[in-house]
Amino acid sequence: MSVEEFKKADHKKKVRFGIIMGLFCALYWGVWYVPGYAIWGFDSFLYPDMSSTGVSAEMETLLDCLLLTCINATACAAVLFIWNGALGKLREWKRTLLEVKAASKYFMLAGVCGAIAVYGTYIAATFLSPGFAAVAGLLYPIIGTVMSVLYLKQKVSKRGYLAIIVLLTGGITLYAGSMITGGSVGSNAGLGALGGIMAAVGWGFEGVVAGKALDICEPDVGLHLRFCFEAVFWWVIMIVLVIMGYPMFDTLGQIANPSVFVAVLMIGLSFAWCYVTWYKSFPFLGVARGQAVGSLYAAFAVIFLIIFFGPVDALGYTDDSMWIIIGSTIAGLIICLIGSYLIATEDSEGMVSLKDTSIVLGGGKE
Amino acid sequence: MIRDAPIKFRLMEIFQEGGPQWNYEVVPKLMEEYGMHSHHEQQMVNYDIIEMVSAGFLTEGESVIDEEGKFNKGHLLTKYTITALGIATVDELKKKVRFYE
Repeated sequence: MSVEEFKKADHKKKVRFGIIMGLFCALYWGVWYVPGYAIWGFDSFLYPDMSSTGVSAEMETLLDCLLLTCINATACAAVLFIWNGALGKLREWKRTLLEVKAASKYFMLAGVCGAIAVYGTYIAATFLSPGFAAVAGLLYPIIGTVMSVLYLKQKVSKRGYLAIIVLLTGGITLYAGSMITGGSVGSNAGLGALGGIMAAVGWGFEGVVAGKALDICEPDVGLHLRFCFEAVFWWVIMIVLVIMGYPMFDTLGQIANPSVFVAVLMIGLSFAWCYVTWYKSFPFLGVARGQAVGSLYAAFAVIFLIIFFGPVDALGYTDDSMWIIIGSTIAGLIICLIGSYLIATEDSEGMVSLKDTSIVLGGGKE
Repeated sequence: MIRDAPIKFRLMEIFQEGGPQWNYEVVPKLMEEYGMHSHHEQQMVNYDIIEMVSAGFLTEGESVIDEEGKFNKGHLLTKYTITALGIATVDELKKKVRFYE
């Protein structure tokens, strides 16, 4: 076999690996919504008794979501300690953590942005429906693009703007159904919608901030640091809440209950690995196509949620609002997928030159 | 020289200082500096280089098949060159790292 043939075969093998990783990312991300929603049904793990504090029912649910987000980040950080330990990357973890100015400060920021996104997702899933939360997250590329225009002074192509318009249309379609009908019984569509916006904005900012540092670091390590910082952020907030008299830690002991433990483990494994496999797909697929494949997560999430919980719980509708909610969720999903496909399949040559341009404008050659 | 920093920082610097180099030259050099010895660690550093190509810091040049097993038998040996983006990035990193002598 000649070198050229060997190179071609090698390239093909790498692309296949990249696609598999991208699909795994979409699967893990999609499946994450299942334990993330199911955990509400176990025992009283997420329901510390707030009756003595006199908070409203909605505030109590917001605090329950906060507890779950904290558990989520802690589970991911723990899973990635095992992952990086097994891969022999803990020394690199320490080196990256100590390099505050060049590396870890970006992961700290990404952790806070990610914290807002995940908290928003749980709020949207609880007050509207997990299906809505999954599709709302698809809007995050809008933030990424706006940020790159405003701060990095990057040019956006016509295709980029078209993608944004398509994504916005998808977003409006998705939100319309829940807004018109007010969601299902007992839900709070306004809070749910706010959660959806937090998810999109949080992940958008996280992508911009983390992208800057992940390229120059070991991604497994960088992603791990991002989760460690998010976990620390939530634990600080939890401790403050406890000092203020909210019994946030009262039910934590239930983690010893096997069903709760398995749900927490599933949350940690699926969310941590979705990030890891996402980044593994980039070197072999290119960032653009990696993101396009990864965007399929929303479709997987809606499918998994319908399989595990049935369409009523997954999409959160009543008899009256059934067709509007199903219609707007599915239509929003399809339009958003088209939008992320458009934004992600920008010519890869263009992507490279985009980076070069940002360097030039950042005080380089011009 | 960048010292005790994440691996990719130093890899970029090695490519900046030494010009175009083969992976079988760069990887052992870095492994020695970082006290790494295993085949697994060798593969990890090589994977870092592949990631740096996708990030736009390095470009691939010529390649040959590793017939004699001097790096990874039966796989490709590749020569890499640092890009303008890579140089700008590593120059920026030198100002920010903890130890630069």
